[in-house]
Amino acid sequence: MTDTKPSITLRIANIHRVAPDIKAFTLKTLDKGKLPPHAPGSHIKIAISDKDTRSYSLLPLTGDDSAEDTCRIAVLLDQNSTGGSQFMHELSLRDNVTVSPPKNDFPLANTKNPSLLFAGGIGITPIYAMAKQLETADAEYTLHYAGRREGKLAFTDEINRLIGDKLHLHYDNQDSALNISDVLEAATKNTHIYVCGPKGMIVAVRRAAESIGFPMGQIHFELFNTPSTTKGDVPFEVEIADTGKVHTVPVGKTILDVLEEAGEELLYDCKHGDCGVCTTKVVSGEVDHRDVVLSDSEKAAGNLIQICVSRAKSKRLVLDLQPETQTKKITPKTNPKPTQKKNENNMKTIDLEWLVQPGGSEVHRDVFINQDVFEQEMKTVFRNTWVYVGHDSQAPNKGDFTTTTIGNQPVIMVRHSDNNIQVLLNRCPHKGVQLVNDPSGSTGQYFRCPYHAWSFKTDGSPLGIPFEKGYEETGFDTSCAKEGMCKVENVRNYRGFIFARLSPEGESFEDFFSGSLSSLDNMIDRSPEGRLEVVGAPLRYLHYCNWKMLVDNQTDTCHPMIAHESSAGTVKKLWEAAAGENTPKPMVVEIVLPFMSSYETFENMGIRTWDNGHGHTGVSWSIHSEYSDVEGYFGKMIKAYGKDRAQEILAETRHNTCYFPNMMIKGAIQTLRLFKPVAADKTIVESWIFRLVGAPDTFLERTAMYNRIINAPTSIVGHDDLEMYERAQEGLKVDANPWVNMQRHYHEDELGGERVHPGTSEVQMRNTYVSWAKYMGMGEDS
Amino acid sequence: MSVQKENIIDFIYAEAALIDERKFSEWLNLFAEDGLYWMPLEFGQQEERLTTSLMHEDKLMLTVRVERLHGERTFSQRPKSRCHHLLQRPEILHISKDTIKTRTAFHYTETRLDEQFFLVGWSEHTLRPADHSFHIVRKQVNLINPESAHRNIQLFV
Repeated sequence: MTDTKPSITLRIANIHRVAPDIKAFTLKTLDKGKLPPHAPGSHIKIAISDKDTRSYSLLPLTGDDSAEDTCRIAVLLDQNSTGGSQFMHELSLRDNVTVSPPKNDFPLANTKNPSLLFAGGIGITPIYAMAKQLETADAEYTLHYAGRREGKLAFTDEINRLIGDKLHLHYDNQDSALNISDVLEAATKNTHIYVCGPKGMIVAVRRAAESIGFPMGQIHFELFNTPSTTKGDVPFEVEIADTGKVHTVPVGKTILDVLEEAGEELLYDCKHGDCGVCTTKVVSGEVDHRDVVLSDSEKAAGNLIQICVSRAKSKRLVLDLQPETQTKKITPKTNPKPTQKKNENNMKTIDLEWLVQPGGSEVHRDVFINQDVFEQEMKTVFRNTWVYVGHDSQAPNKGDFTTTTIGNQPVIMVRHSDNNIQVLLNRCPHKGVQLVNDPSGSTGQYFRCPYHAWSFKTDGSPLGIPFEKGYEETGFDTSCAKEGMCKVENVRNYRGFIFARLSPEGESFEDFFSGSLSSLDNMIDRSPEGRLEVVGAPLRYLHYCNWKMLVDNQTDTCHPMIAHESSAGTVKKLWEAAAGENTPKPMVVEIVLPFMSSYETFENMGIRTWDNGHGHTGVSWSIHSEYSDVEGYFGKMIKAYGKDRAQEILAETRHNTCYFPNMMIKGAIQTLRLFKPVAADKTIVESWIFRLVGAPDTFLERTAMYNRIINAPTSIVGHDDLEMYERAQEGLKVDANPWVNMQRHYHEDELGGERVHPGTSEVQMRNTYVSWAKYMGMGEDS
Repeated sequence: MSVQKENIIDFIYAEAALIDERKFSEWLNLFAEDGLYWMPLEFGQQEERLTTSLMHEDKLMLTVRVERLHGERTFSQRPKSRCHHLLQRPEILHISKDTIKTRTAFHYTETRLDEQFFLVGWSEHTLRPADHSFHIVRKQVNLINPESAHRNIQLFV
C-alpha cells in the first residue's frame, strides 16, 4: 500500500522532555547497524500497532550522535489522542520500535536562493533540520516559529544557539504574533518558502504567497495535523460507483477507515489530508473538504476528495475508486487542542490547567486526593527537580551509606572510593533485590547482593558475578543487568547538602534554585567554620494526608495563633501566670511563645518567593529572631567572618524556607524537614537537626529541643497540625466543592524572579502549585 | 518510713492506672518538682540534651501537656484519646533510703476514633520516698521501636 513499510528496528536511546507536551526521542539502530541516508525534511513511519503507523520528521542530532546509526524525532502528546502520540509518550528508554526507512517528501529545493521557513508548533521538526542545513551552507534565510503562547514551543533555546537572530519567535497572545503577509511581502520573489504546521497556517501561507505572486513551485509545505472528529459531524453514506455497494461512515471514522474495513483496495499514505495519494473522484454528492491538498478552485469544483479526512455535506457521496493521479506530500502528526475542563470523575488524562487555576489561586482537590495524580507526580515532579537526598556528614568515610527515597524511588547515598558522594538506585540489576536496607551503615569497598552475591563498586559499576561463564553467548552483554546498578547522574553536593535530579536532562542546579540558596547559605554560615553536621536519627512521623498539605503549612502564617492555641497558647498562659517580670525565659518558653504572635506581626514579617516553587516566610523578622544570645559565639563569628559579615549573617533570621518540592529548612535553628510522599493520602515526615560546627553546644541543645517540641510524633504542636491535615484529607471528599482556596492576597503577575510579599499572603502556596503544574507537565524523562 | 517492696510495686501500677483513667492532674502530682519524663528517639540512646528525643519533659512541659489535654480548643482531642497500660510486675533494681529504681515492661495501647496502636517496651522509674508515698524523679520510657514512623502519640506511655 505504501512504499515505506516499517522494517527497521530501532532502540530508544534517550527520551527528553522538550516542552510541556512534547518529548524528543533519540533512536539508535541495534548493534550499530546503518540507517539509510536522510536529508532535512525526511520522515520515518513508526509502527504503533500491527496495522497502523505514524510519521515523524527527523530532527537534527545532538552531541556526538551520528546520522549513520541515529535519528531523532519529537512527538507532541495530543490530549485527545488515543493513537500515535499516546503510544509514543508511553514508551520507555530501551524500548524497541519498528520504523520505515527515512523518506523525504519535503526536501530543501536548494541553498542558493533565499529561504523563508515557517513553523507552527510541532511543525518545527523538519524546519529545524532545514535551518541547520541552511546555516551550515551559510545560506540566506530566516525562520519564523509561531506558537500559541510562550513556554509551549520546543527547541527554542537549541535553535537560538544555532542560528541566533535568524530565528523569529511569534506568540499568538503577544505583540509578536506572526503576520504572514508582512513577512512574505518583505521577501524577494526568488525566495523559496517552506511551511510546516497546522492546517490553518499552511492555508494562510499558501494563500498569501500566491496572492503576492510567488510561483507555486517555490511554495513547499507539510501538514502537521491530526484530523479528528469535528463538532457537528454526522454520519453519511458512501456509494461505490462501479459496484453500487453502499457503506455508512459514522462519526469518528473516515471514509478511508470504512472502505478499508469493507475490504476495498485503496491507495493512501499520510492519512491526514496532506499527501494527495488518496485523492478520489467524486461522481455525485457534496464534499466537506478538510485537506490542504486541493486548491480552492479544485475544492469548489467538487469532483475530487481526500478520503482520509474529508466528509460529506450531502447524505450520500458516490465515489469512483479508480486510482487518481498521485500528487504531493506526506507527514502527519498531532495538533495541540485546547485542554478541556474535565468533568469531576473523569481523570483519564490529567488536565493541569484545570487542576491548578491561573496563578495557583485555586487548586483542585484531585491534586491532594487522587492517586493517579500522585503516580504522575512521582514520574514528573520528583524526576525533574533537584530533590534533597541527605547530608555528606552522614557518610563521612568511604563506603559509608544511607538509604532514602526520591519520590517513590529507593536510593542509596554512598561515599565512593574517590571520596565523592554517589546516589544509586537501590536494586540489584539481577532480580531487583535491595542491596542494602539499613537506614545507614558502611558497605566497605563494594556492595554485595545478599541473594546471589553479584557485587558492585560504590559507584554502581559491576564488579563480579559468581560462576559468570554461565552468561557467555547468552546476549547478557547487551542486557540492563550487565550495566551494574543504575546510577543517578545528576548529583550536587552543595556545601554538604546532597541533591539529586533523576532525569538525565533538565534544569541545572543553579537555575533550579537560583536565589533561594541564600537560605541554605545562611544556615551553614552560622557555623564559624561554615560547616554543619547531622546529629542523631531523624524524627519520623506518619501522616495520613497528602505531602503537599505539609508543604503548604510551612508558609501558612494564619494558622499558628488558631490551630496552636491549645499548645503554644497553653505555654503562654502558664508562663504568664507563673513568671515574674524579670524571670528569665526558659529555652522551651522562648521557642514556643512566638507561635502565638498576632496576625499583624506575621503580616509585617513578609514572605519572599523565588522561581520554581521556592520561598520563605520571615523576611524582616521571624519567630526565631529573639532567641537569647549564647556566650562566646559572636566572638567566634567575628573571628571567622569579620564583624560586619558576622552581624549580617546573624541578622538574617528567616522562618521557614521551602525548597520545592518537599524540603523545608529553618536556618536560624538548623532543622530540616522532608515531606516524603508515600501515597496520595500518606506521607512520612522526617525531621533532622544539625550541629553548627565550631559553635557552643547551647545551639545544638536548642535545636534538639525545638525538634522534639515542634516536630515529633509526641509533639503537642505536631498533634495540632496533623489533626488539621487529616481532617482536610477527609473533608476534600465533599463533591459539592472540589476546590482548595489559595487566594489570600492574590493578584496576577505576583510571581517571577525574587519578590517580597505581605506575610499573610498565600503566595508561596500559589508559587508551589504554579511550579508543580510546570513539573507535572514535563512528564517522565527516561 | 521504711520502704516496702510491695508499696513500690503498687505505686507503679497506680501510676499507670491514673493515666488510663485520664486522671492526668493527679498523675502530674506524682512528679517531683525537679521530675523528668524521658522517651529517647534512638534505641539505647544515652545522650539527653544534645540530640533529639521523642519526649524530654520537665514538670513545666508536663503541666502544659496536661492542661492542653483538658483544653476546649484542643482539636486533636475531639474526640478524646483513650489508653491502656498492660504492665508486667515491676522489677526493683535498686532500693535505698532516698532512691528507688525499677524496671517495668509494658504493652501500651492508645486509641482514638477508628485508630488503635500498640507501643511496647519498658519503663525505668527513679523514685524518691515522700510522705507516705513516692515522687517520680525520673521516668524513662524505652520503646522497642522508637525510630519507627509513628502516628500521633497523644497521651502518656
